Amino acid sequence: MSSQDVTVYRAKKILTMNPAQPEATHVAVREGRILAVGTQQQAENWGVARHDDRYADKVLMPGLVEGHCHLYEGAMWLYVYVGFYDRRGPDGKIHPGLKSIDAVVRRLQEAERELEPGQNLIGWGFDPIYLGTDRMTVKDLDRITGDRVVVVMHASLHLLNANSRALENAGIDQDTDVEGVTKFPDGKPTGELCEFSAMYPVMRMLGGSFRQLSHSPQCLEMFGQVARAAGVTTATDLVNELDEDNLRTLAEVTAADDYPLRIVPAASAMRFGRDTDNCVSALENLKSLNHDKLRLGLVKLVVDGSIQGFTARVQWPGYYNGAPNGIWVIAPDDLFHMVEHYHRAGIQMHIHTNGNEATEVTLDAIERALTLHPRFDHRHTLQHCQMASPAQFRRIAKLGLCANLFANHIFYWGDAHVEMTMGLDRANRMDACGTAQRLGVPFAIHSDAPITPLAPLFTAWCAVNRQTASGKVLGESECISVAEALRAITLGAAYTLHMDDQIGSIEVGKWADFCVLDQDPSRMEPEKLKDVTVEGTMVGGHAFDAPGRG
Amino acid sequence: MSRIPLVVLGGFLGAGKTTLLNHLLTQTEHRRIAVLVNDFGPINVDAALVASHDGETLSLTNGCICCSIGSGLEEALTRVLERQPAPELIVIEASGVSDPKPIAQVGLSDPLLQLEAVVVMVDAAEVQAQLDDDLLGDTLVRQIDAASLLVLNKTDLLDEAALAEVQARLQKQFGALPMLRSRFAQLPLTELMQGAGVAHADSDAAHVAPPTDMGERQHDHSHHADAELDHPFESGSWSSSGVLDADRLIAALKSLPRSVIRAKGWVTTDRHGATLVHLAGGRVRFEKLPGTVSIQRNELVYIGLRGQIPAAVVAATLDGAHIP
Repeated sequence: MSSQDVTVYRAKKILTMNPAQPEATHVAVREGRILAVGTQQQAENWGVARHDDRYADKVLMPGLVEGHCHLYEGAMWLYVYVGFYDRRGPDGKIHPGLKSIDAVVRRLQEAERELEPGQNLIGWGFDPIYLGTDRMTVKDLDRITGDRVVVVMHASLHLLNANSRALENAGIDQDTDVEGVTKFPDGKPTGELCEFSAMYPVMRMLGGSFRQLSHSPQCLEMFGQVARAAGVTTATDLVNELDEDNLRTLAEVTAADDYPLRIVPAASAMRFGRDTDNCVSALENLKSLNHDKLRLGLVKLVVDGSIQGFTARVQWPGYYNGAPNGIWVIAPDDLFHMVEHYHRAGIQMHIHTNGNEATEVTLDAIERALTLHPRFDHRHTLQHCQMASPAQFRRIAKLGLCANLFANHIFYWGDAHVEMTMGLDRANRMDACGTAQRLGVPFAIHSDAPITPLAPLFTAWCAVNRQTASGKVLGESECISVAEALRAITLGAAYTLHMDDQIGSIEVGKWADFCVLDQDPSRMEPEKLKDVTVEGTMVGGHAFDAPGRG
Repeated sequence: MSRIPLVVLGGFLGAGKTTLLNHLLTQTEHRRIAVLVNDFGPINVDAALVASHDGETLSLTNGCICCSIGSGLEEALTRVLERQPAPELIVIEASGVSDPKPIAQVGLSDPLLQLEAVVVMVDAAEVQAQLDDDLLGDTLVRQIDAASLLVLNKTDLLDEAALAEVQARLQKQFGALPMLRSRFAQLPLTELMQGAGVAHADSDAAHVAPPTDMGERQHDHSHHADAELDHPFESGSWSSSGVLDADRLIAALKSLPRSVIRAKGWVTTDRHGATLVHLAGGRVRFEKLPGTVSIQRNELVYIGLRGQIPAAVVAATLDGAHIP
């Protein structure tokens, strides 16, 4: 096919996300970009074209954009998925959710039979929050035959369960006097290990690091497959350490025509501390690796921890269960320094603030930076921003910030937020897409994969329905419409990445990045939005079937 | 294989941690110290001392290395532990806002490491305002609570009356924790290490010898050093005969006065037989001795600030470790 060749795709319907032309039936593609969109006649205006009817009975949307996820979603699939909810893997298959500890043990036992002698058996995605008062212990994991080290990573990655062999090899026993080593009443360790010091001896024994693994061609491939199955054509890696070798691999893998994803890494500001110049110059050098499907340039800052981990910095009245206030990851004083310097250097910042105290300090830092160094269209984005009050959203709007809200939290941890972390009043206004919409804050919604599954249509369902795992609706007034949610997972997210000129809608001049669906999500019952089937994607004019379907 | 001693250095931004680390890296002779820092930026080592710099590790000609934690302590620590020859001391710099205690506990969980002390520095001129700050107060409290040794740095900025006021405030809020004054982060960290680690310079075999030898060793190491009065530490010892009750020993060690920064013993317990026992960071840990080893007499050495250890209280407390 010559680069001048035009292909016209006919679809049952094209949802363009361009309000000036919301729907179409034909799209013409040349050189990987959208040449024309509209009626058949409009698409054929450019002369001789190849006609492609593969989407004739499908609905096309712009390729979905995941504004907050991590490459290590790909690495997780090296291990056995043992989460509570169904999850689609890189093979395109649904890995069924496991509803009891027994089911987890059975799944691990099956996987054990596939392993080579001496290999460790590792599970991931486990979350006891859904299993009532049951906690997994060595008694469960020791039922798995094979005399191997068995380790089950929890969904949060802040806890793990180990079997007796793993504990023994790591030197953890009755006498290990370390916070986070859970013990039975008789003083022996249960195998549940929480946080760095308790987990480290086991993690060191397992070897490898997620950062290295995540950048291996195999894991990048799996990351691409997971995204492709979810209709995603652009995804972030929202904390990248800027290891040059890793980025070279990333640049090489993503450049291939058969790699189904554009990747937007954000440099870890934490790695550079107050030495922002060093980060900026490292990025300047590494930007030479950029190509159409790799875009370095963002910087990520993490201000506090997580709400469900009680490490987010929250304002009065604090945590509902009385837990002490959380932690600063970047000190307020450093934050002021870093925000000012990155802002002045023209960098776009993505700033993790979970608790409203972290949000407030971040808003102060940005307001100061903007006062000192006025700058238009900076699009600094608050990531998660889960507890922001209406007053904070008014400041966000006034300061020209974007918000990327963690809509999936409503489903996965909404009940815990009501009962333990926030109480009903504040849980009702968490991840306040409705407020953002009303106040004109440009916003996206996200999964933070692998923390929750990479599946923007599910994330959109969460933002539309705000239904918790137990079926409660949290804060009905914060629900948004299907149309608004679909915009958030396309143009909304593209805007937060400063890429809305290239992706996020089906318009002339943008990349031919599409998400192929079996039904029209804009016409579905809002509560069914998550059930729409992704049939495939197109990235820069290259068509991909959803994995497991081709 | 003997465990590598670990010191965790905490304290808020500006307290002087980096200055201390610079001293440690450049003024140490004949010791392979590995220092893990949050960022290299402020580390200021004479270029003549730098042997190599590969982006993540700065190697010095004196055998010391400085490693960047970047965004991952786990990876950085693993890199350091994999080095050959192994470092003789590892110092982890906790970030200015983190609680050093949970980090320090890796020196109690990992079989390759032995926690010696959590050293927390505060800026004498700023600490009161920081403790009263709405956003930072709780972070400071956690840091100071975690200290086995609190270093009141930058004392040159205050007169004696003001310093006394700061110390009184800290004592009122945190009790009698061992507190040292310093200027320009000049701190006898090596002496603290030698005192606290007591054994690390020697092979552990020396300590399972008959008690007469142990007495001599202890004499050599601590009392002798005390006599020179060139550092502010003092050590003491406790001994007894018979088999100790493991749980009572743990309880006794954990209820020692906070002025005891570190303790180490060669004891026989009902649960462990002959074993090493450590108290560090307020927590107790056992270290297996080879099965062939027997201990004639329980012997425990401890260290604190000179003149601050109530020896009688320590002895009475430890006496409670016997099987009743």
